[in-house]
Amino acid sequence: MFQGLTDFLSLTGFAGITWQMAVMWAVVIVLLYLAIVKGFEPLLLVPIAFGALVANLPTRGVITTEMLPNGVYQTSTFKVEGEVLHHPGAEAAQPGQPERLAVKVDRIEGGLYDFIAQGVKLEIFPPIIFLGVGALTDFGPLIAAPRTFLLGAAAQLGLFVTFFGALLMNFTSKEAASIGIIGGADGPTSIFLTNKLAPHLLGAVAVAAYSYMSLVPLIQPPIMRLLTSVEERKIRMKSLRKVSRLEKLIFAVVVMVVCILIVPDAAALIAMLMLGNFLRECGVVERLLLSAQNEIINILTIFLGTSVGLTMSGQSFLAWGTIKIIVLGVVAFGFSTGAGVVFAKLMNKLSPKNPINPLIGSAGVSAVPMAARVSHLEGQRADPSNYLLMHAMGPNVAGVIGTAVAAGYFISTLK
Amino acid sequence: MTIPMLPLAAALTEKPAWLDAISYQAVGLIVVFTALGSIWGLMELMGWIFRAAERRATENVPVAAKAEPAELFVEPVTHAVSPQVLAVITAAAHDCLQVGERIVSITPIEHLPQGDVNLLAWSSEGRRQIFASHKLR
Repeated sequence: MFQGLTDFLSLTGFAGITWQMAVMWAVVIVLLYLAIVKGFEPLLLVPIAFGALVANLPTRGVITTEMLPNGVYQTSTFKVEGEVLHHPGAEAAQPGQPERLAVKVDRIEGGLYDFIAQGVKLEIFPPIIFLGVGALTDFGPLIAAPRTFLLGAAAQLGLFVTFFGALLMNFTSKEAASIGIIGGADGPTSIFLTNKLAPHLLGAVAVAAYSYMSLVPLIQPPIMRLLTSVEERKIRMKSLRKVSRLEKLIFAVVVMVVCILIVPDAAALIAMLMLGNFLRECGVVERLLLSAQNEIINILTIFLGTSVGLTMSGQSFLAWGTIKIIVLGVVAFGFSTGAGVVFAKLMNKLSPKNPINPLIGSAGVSAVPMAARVSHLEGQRADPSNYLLMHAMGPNVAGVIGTAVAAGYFISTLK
Repeated sequence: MTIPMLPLAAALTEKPAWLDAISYQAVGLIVVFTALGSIWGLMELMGWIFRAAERRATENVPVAAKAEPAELFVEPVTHAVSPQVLAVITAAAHDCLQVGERIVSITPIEHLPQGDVNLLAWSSEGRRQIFASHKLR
């Protein structure tokens, strides 16, 4: 009986627990606290944290395949990670017979989430999430005030400054690009780019990107106040004109064509974003639109979040590099915010007759719609009857396009 | 159709020199500004065309109206919001948002231009939930 009990205990997961797993449980608790109690980006942080918890438990059949009693692995396609062992004393293969090799198997992929996570590895999930984002986004404010495109472009400065900072901190150029993209405040684009250039940083970059996106209301206002005077924050902007459906349809096609011509590597993201938006604006495919706005984006969000969380195993996440990524992420955000505000002030110098409230420049980071709401609230602090929300939505959605273009540039030059 | 991969002048090594890195960033910013600037220009052009068309359309309306004043027809307001309903909506918005808000317009759902009302409500619910997930502190 004692032997049976001992045998069973050897089958349990207790023996597989490591100190890194225990530390990661604490990280998971922090992430769940931020998501559930504080309400920080719960749609993504909850699945990421849960995935991270699963990644730091001694599981079977989740990210590795399981061997049946007859010695056959319960999967038809899998990847084996191992090394060939050399046995000096082994007999040489006879002519006509295959050579025999001894292989030490470290890990066999093929569990449940190994298959689901193919959506991240094969870069399927981020573009499909962009389909939903396009279906949910109204580009009307941007079409009504197209000069705010420039604010979306200016806010990408943070990406490039952080890229340089990451190089100085001894990251490679591919890793630096993956870290810099955090400043774009665009989760799917960050995941898409990092998976292409530096997949080993995926967990840290995704967590930093989504954490800082949720912290936009805390990070941005001090920078906005520092760079603007009270008079500037009180600037009232002209009402936006009404945009027709035909304009919105043309816009979707024009943006897709121009962006793909300039950066073909961003085609997957831009094409899906504009497909979603075209479905929304054409008004004749309501069933497809509803699916994109609800079921597709929700299902993909669960799979994307947990797949990213599963990359956060203690061995890879608990590293000095993760802390550097977290620090560089906030630098990227700060520079992107500041660049947008300063560029809006510059536009006012060049075009004083139709001024822009510089607060909407900070919305050039693509955290939609939170960055626009922060601009609106900061404007109302200075003048409670000033309504900036719709004006800020212009640079906000321009930032989504700008970050995708920047990602396309990084991919085309570094892959 | 796929395009062939060409070696780019901006391509970087794993550990580039400072000057190379700075020039790489400058090229990146130029690419972003070129892409978004091009769209800006095209959208300004499109907006100018649409505004001109709209102006022409509105300029024509009064002329026709003057020619046949007897044909003027004002659609009666059948769905006016009563002051009581307005007060309830304002109170609900205040309770929900907890900030200084102002009701700018109220659109009854049956006035929406297209599609089945239930489907539109489901679409709106998706949008509401996504936006509500971004909690603002």
